[in-house]
Amino acid sequence: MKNIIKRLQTMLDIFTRITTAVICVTAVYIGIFWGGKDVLSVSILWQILSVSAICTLGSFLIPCGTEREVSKKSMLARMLLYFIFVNVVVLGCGALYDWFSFSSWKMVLAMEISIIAVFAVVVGAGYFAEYKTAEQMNQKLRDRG
Amino acid sequence: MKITIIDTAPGEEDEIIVKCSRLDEELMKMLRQFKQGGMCLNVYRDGEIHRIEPEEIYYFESVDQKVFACCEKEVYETKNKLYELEELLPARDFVRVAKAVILNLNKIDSLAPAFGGRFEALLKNGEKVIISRQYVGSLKEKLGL
Repeated sequence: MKNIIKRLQTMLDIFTRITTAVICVTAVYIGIFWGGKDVLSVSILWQILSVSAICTLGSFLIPCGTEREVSKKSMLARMLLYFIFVNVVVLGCGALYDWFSFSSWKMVLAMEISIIAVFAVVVGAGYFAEYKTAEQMNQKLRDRG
Repeated sequence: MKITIIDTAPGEEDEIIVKCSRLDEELMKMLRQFKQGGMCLNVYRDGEIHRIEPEEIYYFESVDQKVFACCEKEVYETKNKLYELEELLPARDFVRVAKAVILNLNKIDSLAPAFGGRFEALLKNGEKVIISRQYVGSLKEKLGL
């Protein structure tokens, strides 16, 4: 039960990070490629939320809480798989939602840069949270004298 | 629990007699502490028995069914299992940080995040010990976070 709660908390956390980063990247992407279009359909919000939700499901590849420990090598492989999964989801859904066309290499390149940027932000935010935890524990250790 | 101290005759050996209906866990723990000789641990190296205080030990590590007590420079073998040591050692200072490692909190110089939710403890003797993701929660709890 504890593991399920921890997993749900982690997924909600990842979903929030992904959605935030995707909105930022989308604002830039729309500004570059669809700059003249000043009215957006409300469906774009549902599209962003659905892509973020599907991408969050891929986080099952990364163990959390008290789940089984994996080696460093296995962890790297899982991260790579997760990145590939995110690519497939974003490019697949992006094409389905007409965010871009595979015939335009500029748009495909921009999508790939966006995916890498969002992935880096989400992983970076996770590392930063761990860094903060380490700092808090270091402070507690110092307080012990 | 009633404690009775009886004077011994001159030359008679000191003796501890335990009178109980059954040996429960608490009594067993006390007996183990008596056998260990208070707060000193019996450890072995090169066929010699040494008695060292827990505060001298940086960490205990289990390797191939053997448990080693790692001090600043020396490594000794102990006959105790890790789960027995967890009960014997001062709970304030020692914490299980991996399936095979018990760490002395007073010997940690600093903590830093490692890959995959793990943390790395840099010890005061320069050694590094990995804190498994599964045990980060108990470490945080021990530090009052």
